[in-house]
Amino acid sequence: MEKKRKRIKGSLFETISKAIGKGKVRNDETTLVAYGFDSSITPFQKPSLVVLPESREDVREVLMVANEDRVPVTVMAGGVNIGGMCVPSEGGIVLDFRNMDKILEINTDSGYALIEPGVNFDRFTAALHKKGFKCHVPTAPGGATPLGNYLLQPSGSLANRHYDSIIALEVVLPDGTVFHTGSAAYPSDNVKYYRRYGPFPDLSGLLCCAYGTLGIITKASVRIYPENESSRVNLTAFNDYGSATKFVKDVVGANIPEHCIIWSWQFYKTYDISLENVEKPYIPPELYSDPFKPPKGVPYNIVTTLMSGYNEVLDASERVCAKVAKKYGGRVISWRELEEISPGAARSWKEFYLEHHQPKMEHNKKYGLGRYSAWIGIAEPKDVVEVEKFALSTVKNLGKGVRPICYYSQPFDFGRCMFLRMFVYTDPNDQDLLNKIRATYTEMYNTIMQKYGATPERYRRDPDMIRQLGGYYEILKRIKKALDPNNILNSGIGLFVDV
Amino acid sequence: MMRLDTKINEVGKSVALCLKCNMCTYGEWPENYSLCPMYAREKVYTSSPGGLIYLVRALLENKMEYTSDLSDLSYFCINCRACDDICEIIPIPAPHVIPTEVIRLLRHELVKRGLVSNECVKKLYKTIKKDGDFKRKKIEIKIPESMKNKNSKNIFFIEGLYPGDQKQIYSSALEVLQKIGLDVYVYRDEGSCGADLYDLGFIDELKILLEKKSELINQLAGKNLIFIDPHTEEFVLRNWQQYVKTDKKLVGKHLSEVILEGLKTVRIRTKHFDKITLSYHDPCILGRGLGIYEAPRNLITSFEGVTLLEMKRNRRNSYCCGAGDGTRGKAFPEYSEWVAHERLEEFKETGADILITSCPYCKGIFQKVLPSKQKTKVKDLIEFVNERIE
Repeated sequence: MEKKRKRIKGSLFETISKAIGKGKVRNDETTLVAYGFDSSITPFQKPSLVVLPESREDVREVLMVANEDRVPVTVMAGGVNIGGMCVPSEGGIVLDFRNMDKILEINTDSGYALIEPGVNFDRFTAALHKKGFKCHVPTAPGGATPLGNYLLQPSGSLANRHYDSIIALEVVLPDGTVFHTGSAAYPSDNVKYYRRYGPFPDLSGLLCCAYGTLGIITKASVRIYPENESSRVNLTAFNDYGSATKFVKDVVGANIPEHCIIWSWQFYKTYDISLENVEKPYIPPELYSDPFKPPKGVPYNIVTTLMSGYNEVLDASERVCAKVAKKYGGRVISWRELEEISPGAARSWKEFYLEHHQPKMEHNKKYGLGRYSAWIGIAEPKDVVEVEKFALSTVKNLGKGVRPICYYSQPFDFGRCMFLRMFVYTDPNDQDLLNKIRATYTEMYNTIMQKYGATPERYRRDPDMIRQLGGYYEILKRIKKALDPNNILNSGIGLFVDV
Repeated sequence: MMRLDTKINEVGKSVALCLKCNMCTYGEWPENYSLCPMYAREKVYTSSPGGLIYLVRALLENKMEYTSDLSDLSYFCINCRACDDICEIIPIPAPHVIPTEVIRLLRHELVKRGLVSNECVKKLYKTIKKDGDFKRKKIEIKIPESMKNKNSKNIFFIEGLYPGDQKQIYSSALEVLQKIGLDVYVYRDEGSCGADLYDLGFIDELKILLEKKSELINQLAGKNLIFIDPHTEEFVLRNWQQYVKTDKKLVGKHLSEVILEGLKTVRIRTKHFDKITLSYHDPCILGRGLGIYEAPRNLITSFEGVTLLEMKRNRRNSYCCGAGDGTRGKAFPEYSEWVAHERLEEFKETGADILITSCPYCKGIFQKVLPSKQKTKVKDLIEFVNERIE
């Protein structure tokens, strides 16, 4: 429900239009409808306005008006969200940052880039590639934004060695206060956005995983990394997930990879969907078979181990990968062999790892299989094998309408924990099934916590997820009250429903 | 291409899969060129292929009603097909539609409900309802006697819709065909082939039109059709086939391909010209629709002294001229001309002397927006070729 307002819709439109310019404010029915839902099961709700700011000052003006009138503000960096986080569930204003999309600086000396919220991965990775640099690339589409993605603690191409991508931020609060985090907070134009931590508490961290509820970010510095003399991907095939995780733990512990990902066979086979004949797309039939039983010749898991650096080091690292693979019953496979097993995966992984960007549509075709529903658990390495078995079999038991069942898994933060993202594709119009999947996922989160000490990775618009955290939640609520006393920021997602 | 009888409620699953990723608006990595004119102009999600797809989803899920505002928005899409070339999510579920087909289905529903607000589109609709076709005054072109043999295997297809000011293109085409000595019969269709009705969403009227043309369609099946207008070529080859009652196929080529083949097999004398630099604008339907990118370029560069300077957005990454199938220029003149100016700016950046294109509508809109002294800077490929061969 929308908070009590002092103005009627028309006057809110007029006030904001007058403050920032009419061309940046939309209240036509078609626009309001298009911004009222996404591909999640979140109920449809039209906003009252869609505002497309072009500067920090525009954002300030909008927030101050909204705060005064207690109008909810839902923020959208690029809008590629399939979890309902950008749906304005309480109406109000959608602040769409697509037109604040400047790459302000690429600092190859300190290894950061300063970007506006609307910059997307395709533009960002292309700009970095020109300078011989790369960034953390998630499995999200190239139209997604680094800022939106990095604030969620993403999974992707570099997350086991380089876990935190956010450095320093520029933040606007509902009362118009602007503050900076990290080194950007210092009162000198000579101090740039290069450092996140110390000597005081980490306010960048406060904004991470806050889902736009604690402040609106208008500028951010994010970590970037040199492409180095060479990048290589070691491909290792395993017949079971347990062996694959042992391999990963071992090579990560030995400082071999920048990153490893364990791909399930049904995931990498989705890359083989072909639209060559657009009227009759090819979908590998095995995607609809038992996820525990890959066809002959198709490895249950393939591990991609990304390494970059001097060639001499990489030569030695590849030999180590082969040795470790053998130790755990796996085997190194060549790119040629991968091309035979899954030509789509070979093409996509080359782009993903060696060109450091999302494979354009190779990557997205899988979303054409049906409504994508993801479940993400984080477990300690010793427990993750049981979590995989449990999650895969639970989801499999949902029936044949829930296919294919894919996952990828990776060590986060030098292997301190293992990330497991499982996802299924279903009829997007079957609401009953989608609700059933959501309920099952909730049960699965509870089970993995109780049984395996594992935790969920993302907030899912379910206030009970944060309520169960007790004291942690109480402190967060106090912080929320200080920063956003009228609870206008992304209030619809229910993270601070008790404030 | 989707079946003509596809209904909007068949695409519910397809539209529900759109991720709002916005990738339908820009081209391949690493250039990521902005390709959707509608989005480039409005810079809001609603005015993008994804936005329109979301609105179709909203309609199918009863989140909104059909309105005339929606109608204007749907016709704002210029049908450049960039999104069709990019999006590989929407086509996967049956009935395997591509984004512009979803938009066309939306237009059809709006037309059925009488919700066409744009005066130009409304006028066209009234004409088609009244006359069953868009017949205009014939362009006066003298057809050589040698091209009146109905038994010829090759049919040069002239549609009746072209504006009179493009007469030069067709006259040049006839001369070129004579020069390369190709035995052709010139078929002049007095009205529309149906491509524009299809694009505008006049689907019910289109079916009637094609039924009327059934006899003609069957006569043309099995012949070698030759086209200048890519819109006609694409529509005829893809949609007329379902009206062919025998096992004969409708086959055809673009004139640029035919001339290129002709120049390889027939010894043709070329005229001497000073060195010149040209840039080539890929018409959307010739390129993305028919996949013809290289034949026009090969033809241009086959002449001595010609240097081709590419615009930064070319081939699959090309940008629309703004005319669409000709109706956008009339329905949304300011927008259409804005798009044309954007493209001409890019042409200027090349520093080339002449801009060559290969679609009558592209030439028309470019000439329309250029100052009077610069209008000769734009030529159709066929005019260029005709000037250079004897």
